[in-house]
Amino acid sequence: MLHLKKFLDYTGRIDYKIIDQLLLNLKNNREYTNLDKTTAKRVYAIVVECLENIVKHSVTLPHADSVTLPTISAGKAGDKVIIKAGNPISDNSREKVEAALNLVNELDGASLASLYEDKMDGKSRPNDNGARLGFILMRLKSGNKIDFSFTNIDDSHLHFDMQISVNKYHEKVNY
Amino acid sequence: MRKLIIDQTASSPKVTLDPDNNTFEISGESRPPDVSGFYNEILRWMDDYSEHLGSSAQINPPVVFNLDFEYFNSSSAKYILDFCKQVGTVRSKGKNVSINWHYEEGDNDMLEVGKEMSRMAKLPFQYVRKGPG
Repeated sequence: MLHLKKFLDYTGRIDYKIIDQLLLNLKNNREYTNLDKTTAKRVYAIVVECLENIVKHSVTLPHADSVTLPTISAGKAGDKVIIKAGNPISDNSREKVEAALNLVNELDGASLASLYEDKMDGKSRPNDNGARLGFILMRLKSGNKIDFSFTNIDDSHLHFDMQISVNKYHEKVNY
Repeated sequence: MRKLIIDQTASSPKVTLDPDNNTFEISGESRPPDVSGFYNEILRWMDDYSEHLGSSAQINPPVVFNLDFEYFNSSSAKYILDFCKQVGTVRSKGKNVSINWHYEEGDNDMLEVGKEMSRMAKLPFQYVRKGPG
């Protein structure tokens, strides 16, 4: 198993002020700034989408601990950058999130780019499963499928976790 | 015609839309928490300016909108495309307006996104490469 050399690692409540601080820290981290410009910008874009996803969709649970709090990390592992993000969600959100991610993962590069354009243009498709622009962008920027899982917290909440592997820029992107 | 000036923050770009000084620029990082509120103000200004230009016989000197983004999130992208389309509509009416799309040397994705925006807005961009630093 490859060792993950983290340049971002945070667990706790996340709001827009905390996003600003986390991104400032990221920009000043030497491991991050040593990435080539295109890879660094792709990582930055995916981290922002993950953090905004958490702010928009995370639920706040009364019993806050390391299992229920939002989390984000990013680091180098071999020839890839691994970004992990997680947050608690309501049980009834699972189906929608799962359908959106499955769709985004199933599409090939050309179909994904076409869906991205339609979303940008404000066009909706009957079978787009509510695919969010953020998920599409994560897939396009990373060049890889988005791994995700749900873990039960209690009767009505789950912890939603995503892992995105970003190919270094010099590599060919395979969808 | 009024000008629109918005100061840069950690999450929102600097906006200078100043017809009196013929300076039109949006620059910096774009991920404002209230993305619709932020960009709707810009789109409303562009609506007004389009109307203003429509009533003018000719534009002299030409109007160049400089889009110089360090980064923008997916929510901002939709509004930036709308802005480019507005510029394209004005140009299609024979007015001398254009977009300069700035990108850092080595930031291949920003260049490619500019090309996509140009195609989707049906408006040719001029691409301006910035040196390191």
